[in-house]
Amino acid sequence: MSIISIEFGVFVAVSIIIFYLINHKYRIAFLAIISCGFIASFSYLLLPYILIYSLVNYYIGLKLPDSKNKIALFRTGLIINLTQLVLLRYSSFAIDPIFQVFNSNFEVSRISEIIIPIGISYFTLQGIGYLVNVKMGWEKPEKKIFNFLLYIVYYPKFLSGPIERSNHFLPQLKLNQQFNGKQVTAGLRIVLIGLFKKIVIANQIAQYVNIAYTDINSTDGLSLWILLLLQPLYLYFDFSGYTDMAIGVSKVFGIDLLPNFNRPFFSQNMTNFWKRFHISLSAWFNDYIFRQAAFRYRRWGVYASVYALLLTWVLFGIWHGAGWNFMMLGFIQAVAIIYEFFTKKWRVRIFSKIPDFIRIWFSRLVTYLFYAGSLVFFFAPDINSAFTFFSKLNNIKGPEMFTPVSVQPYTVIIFIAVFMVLELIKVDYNNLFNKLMYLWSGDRLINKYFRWSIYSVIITILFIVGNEAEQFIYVNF
Amino acid sequence: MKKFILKSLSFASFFILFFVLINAIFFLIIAVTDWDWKKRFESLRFDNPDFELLVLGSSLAQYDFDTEFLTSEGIKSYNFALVGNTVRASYIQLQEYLTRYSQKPDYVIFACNSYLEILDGDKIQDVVKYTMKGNRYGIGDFPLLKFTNWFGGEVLKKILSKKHRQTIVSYGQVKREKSTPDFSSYEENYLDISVFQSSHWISEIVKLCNQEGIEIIIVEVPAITKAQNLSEIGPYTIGFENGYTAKLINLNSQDFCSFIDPAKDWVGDSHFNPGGALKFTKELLGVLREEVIVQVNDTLATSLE
Repeated sequence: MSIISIEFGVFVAVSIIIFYLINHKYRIAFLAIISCGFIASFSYLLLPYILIYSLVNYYIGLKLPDSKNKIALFRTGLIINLTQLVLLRYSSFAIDPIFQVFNSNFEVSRISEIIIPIGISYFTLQGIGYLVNVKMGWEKPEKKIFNFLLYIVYYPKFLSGPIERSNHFLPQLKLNQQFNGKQVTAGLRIVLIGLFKKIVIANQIAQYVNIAYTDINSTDGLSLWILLLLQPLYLYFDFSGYTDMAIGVSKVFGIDLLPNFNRPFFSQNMTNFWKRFHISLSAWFNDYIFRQAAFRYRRWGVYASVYALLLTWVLFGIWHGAGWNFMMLGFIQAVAIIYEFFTKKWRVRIFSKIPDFIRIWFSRLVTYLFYAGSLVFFFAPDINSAFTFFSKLNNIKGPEMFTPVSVQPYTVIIFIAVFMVLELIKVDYNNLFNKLMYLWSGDRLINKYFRWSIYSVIITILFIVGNEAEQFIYVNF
Repeated sequence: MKKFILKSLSFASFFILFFVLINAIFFLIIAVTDWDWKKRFESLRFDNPDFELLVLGSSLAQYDFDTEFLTSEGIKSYNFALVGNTVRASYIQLQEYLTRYSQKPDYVIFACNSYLEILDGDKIQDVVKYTMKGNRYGIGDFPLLKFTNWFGGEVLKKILSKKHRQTIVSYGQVKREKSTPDFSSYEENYLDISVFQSSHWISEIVKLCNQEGIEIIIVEVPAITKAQNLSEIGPYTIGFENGYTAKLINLNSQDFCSFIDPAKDWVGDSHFNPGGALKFTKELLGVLREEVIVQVNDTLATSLE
């Protein structure tokens, strides 16, 4: 079931209606069951797998606080989590080549073709996070099986996060959720914004990004430059659009999910960028990898941080997929953050002599460009393709006929600009933002019609793009 | 929950009103400002037209054929081509013209570029379909849903670009003063005549012209350097499955296209600007005189002279 489909819309609508019609005692069980149905719609075998996975983590979590062999039990849980992740997600990269060395045709990666481990990177981090929290005593183990199951399988966040923390998610399930019109409206508003980001912006850019990365060799240098600059926006609108939908749907059910984005392109350095981009993932790695590693090797002094940073970011890269390109993606983030760490004092000294406006925008631009460049390793199918991409950037010729970029939908640029200006106002112009918020959220009739008009414009644009007719290639000049 | 449901219903009513209103405004804007719509309305409301030559085709023909020049040369002409026009829509346009008006044209040029365009298929260009007799309208036919991606972009370009606003339509030809250099290089392309022969709707146009006693000429129009071909100019005689034949002139031949200045003559994507179109139409007239018409039809040759 695709998230951007009528079926999913109906599924969400029906699940919301039933959720509020049934007795609140059964609501968590209901959400857990329909989430299982949602997972089964992708793969029937994935469902029993997830149920077993949840049961194992539930049981280990339950036994951890009182166990005599606490560390051994925790390590067992950790090994189970990591092993299933490696087997189902990284075997083609980490295990199959070993068999090939011994001239064996055995391929462990075939298991993933049978089970289709959708969402595994997300639910595994949630499972590990839960065990760490319980082992460290940061939270008590969850006793209700349906609550824990819902923590793992909750359908709004199952496919692509946000990566929830058990100590944030589980306590909310204990509240008696009553229907709250304002909350439902707020949730639907976030869904609407998410749909707009995904359908009207990200999907329109996607085709050009995909075409270029499918055949880098035949894409000209100018197009690659444009794609290089566009791809952070594409990823942002695609992923934050999905996240908004997840957060919005969840809010309708009365469950707040963790935020994942906070106007990342207004960051002035990479350290700050990763506190604002894919927040739930970078915060997870910060809390469960970086801090643990830095603490463990604290005797090394500053080098403990360097080591912890390298470890964290390489694992962060690998989390995205099995390949050297993803490892490189993580490695260069680490290099940037280590550079920022060691040069902070002299950078502050030098930049303090430059006017604020120039300093801020120069820093934002450099941060954006660095991230744009590093994303080549994210989108490229392998590391060689990534280097081909960079080498072709030198090869700029004049405009050619019907290149993907020559037929790009220019309206997307306008929508991106509108979003970016709104984000800029929020970040840099607080007074103006407050005035806009007053106009937006006032109780007078004019405020209401203003809101409704904006919603209507968004829905209309969604209809237009969703209904998209053929784009005439000749009309693009 | 009751309050929420009532509020939702109020919003739904507001949205329907809003949607209908902005559709009406949008339709008014494109009908008044867009060249295709204006041309389409004009062609459906001619007052006893007496054109001798009609040009059919897509935007390539719409930009390339200087019908004002042809008229000044004594061949009263009109350029019926529309942006994104399909072959079937060209057939419908011709059929409508012949049904509506008593005086038939002497010649019809069907212009296309087989390297760039798809000549088969049953699709009808949206403006033609929307305004043709017997069209059934559905939910998807709200102007905003149907035309925004296309005409919305055009409206936007008119707002942003002075050259776009200053574009004019003369005798059906779109004239925009802009030059986009062509940096592409020659490739080894050849004209594929079978593409024309297998096009059902080209054969229908040929059939209709033959039945009405109209001389039909199929013109492969020039494209940028990369898309030009190494084949002869012709003329070629093409036979169709329905038994009719037509003459095809290959004006996308590298030989013929030597008159094009790649730095100045294109408005973009293989469409001529007014200067390029005038040069092309003059060259076309020469070919019609020397290569085709003399061989095809002595009467036309006389009229052209």
